[in-house]
Amino acid sequence: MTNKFLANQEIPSFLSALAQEYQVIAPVRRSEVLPDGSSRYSFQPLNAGPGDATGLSAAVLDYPIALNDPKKFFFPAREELLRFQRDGSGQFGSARDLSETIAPPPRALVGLHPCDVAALEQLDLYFGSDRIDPYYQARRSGRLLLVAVSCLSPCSEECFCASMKTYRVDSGYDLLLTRLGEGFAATAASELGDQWLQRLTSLAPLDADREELLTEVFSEIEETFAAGVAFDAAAVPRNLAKGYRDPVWREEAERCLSCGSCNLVCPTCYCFDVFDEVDIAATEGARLRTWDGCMLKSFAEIAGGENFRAAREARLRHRINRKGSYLHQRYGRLFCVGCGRCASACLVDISPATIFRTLEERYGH
Amino acid sequence: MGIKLRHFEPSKVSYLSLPARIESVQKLTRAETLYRIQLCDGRPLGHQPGQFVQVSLFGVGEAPISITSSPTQTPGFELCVRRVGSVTGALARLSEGATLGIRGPFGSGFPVQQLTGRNLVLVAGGLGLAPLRSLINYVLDKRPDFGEVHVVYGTRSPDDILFQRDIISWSTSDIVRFHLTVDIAPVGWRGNVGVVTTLFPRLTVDPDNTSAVIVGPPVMYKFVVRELLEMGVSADQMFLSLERRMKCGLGKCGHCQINQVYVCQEGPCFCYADLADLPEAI
Repeated sequence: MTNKFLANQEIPSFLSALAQEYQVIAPVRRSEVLPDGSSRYSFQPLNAGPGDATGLSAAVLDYPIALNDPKKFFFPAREELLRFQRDGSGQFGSARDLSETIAPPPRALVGLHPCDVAALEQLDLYFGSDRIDPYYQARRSGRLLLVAVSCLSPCSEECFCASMKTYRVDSGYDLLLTRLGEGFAATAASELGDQWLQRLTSLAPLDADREELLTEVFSEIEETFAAGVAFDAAAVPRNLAKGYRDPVWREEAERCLSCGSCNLVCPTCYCFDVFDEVDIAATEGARLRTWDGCMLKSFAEIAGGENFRAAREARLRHRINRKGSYLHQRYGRLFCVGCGRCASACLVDISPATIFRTLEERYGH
Repeated sequence: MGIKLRHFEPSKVSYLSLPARIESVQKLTRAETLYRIQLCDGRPLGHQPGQFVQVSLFGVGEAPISITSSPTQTPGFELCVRRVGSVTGALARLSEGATLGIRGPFGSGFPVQQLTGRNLVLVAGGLGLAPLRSLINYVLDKRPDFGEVHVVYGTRSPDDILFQRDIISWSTSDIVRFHLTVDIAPVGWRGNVGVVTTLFPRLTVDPDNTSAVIVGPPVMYKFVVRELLEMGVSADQMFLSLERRMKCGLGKCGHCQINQVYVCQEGPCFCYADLADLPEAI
């Protein structure tokens, strides 16, 4: 596989080259400034589509974490499933399945951190197994270039990718950019990524010194994150099973506001609601889905009024077990990447990491 | 033992429903109505007792409804619907000849193979009779395949009794023993008064060769299961149908999840012994 050096001054031309063929999506700095003076970032499409090179300068490749992961480009927060025509006279009407009309432009997702790559792989597994979700699949199987950026250190106090082992990923992307002084080492991880590096003839190959430096950076990454391991991810499913009736659920959930913020920012949350909306003439409309959250009180409530997870601790236990145990039983892997977005968004400091660590202390031996 | 999580050959799903026509409408109680429905393309629904469909009305939404008719009783199929939400409210305004959408059938049905050859105690509470009726009439249509059959039905009051035509036929038949109770009765009611378990002393079955199927409101399960265990029916011979919120029916939307299972995929019918794996179930 090809390795090259992407000097800082080459970044605009690199993005321009991508913009010839793709809609480029990358983290941009959001306008709001937080009380501590820091900024937030979110993934946004930069150009209108292939061939348009405007807007590319907004891309930020050195950033701590994006507010949301790129899930929204494959599983939008709100999307129409069907368009229907109603027939006023008690007749069913007719409908069109909109999954057949989904045709995203070729897209280059640039700047994903390893945890976001891992999350996307988990969603691929979920939406692509058993009953395949045609909407997700249509968006995901479009032409796509994934350019990841290595994390050199944890991005926040809340992130726990060190424990989840998602601070580095070996698959699920085409190119990896790793900060090396005044530029990035660009390493190919797929045939598509390799083709791109070969095409970018203005970029110098990674010389021996930089190769060596890159190896050092990777081992520094390993050391830095190894120091941050707070629990054993492999033991999470077992500890969750043993701790099903542990007081930790009540202790932590006591202060939960049931706001669902954790669900909203989670890159591996996929639950959705389905409902109808009609236009003002009530003759046509859409059946659509929106992201839903298992921490919201009404999530498991049925029409008759029974609520199967009425207690906050039941909802918290469900959410955390879903990440660390329930889906592990179905698919053999954890459905949490340790990005810490949920803990950062939580107004009362509830974090899966705290719960995983507590259960390990109580049941891990 | 334990719940087997279902995996499928990967296949694309669709949220489109099949158009279906309401062939007849019969009001059963103040809140419940029975619809006989036929798919417009004339094909049979192809369901198993205990399965459910998503009923779709454009502009209103979809609701999961259990199938109340036995697959042995065709053409068409029946849904018994309690008017309680937006879709069921809109359904209540439809009459014969109207069309609606059907997706499904979904879920696992009652394990009829496993029940074959056994004595059956079929216990329904309230609207639980709707899904259970698909099994009761299936068993009665294949009567020689089963041992002694008891149907036990408890409901709130005489005004809430569902399927009175079926009940008259079950009560007067010598191939099934039917037991009825109500929680509250007006003066003049000559039947049993009390919760459904007050009928259990009348069940004269050999527990070793008996299977029980129970469908009712969540609060009922614990009491019924406890009584049946005391009678000697074993946990792996008890089957329940669980109600949960459902949006997709495809194992994707997450609403019906109980611990690691999706009720729309592994359920809604479960073996009681397996529920030891699912602390959230009942």
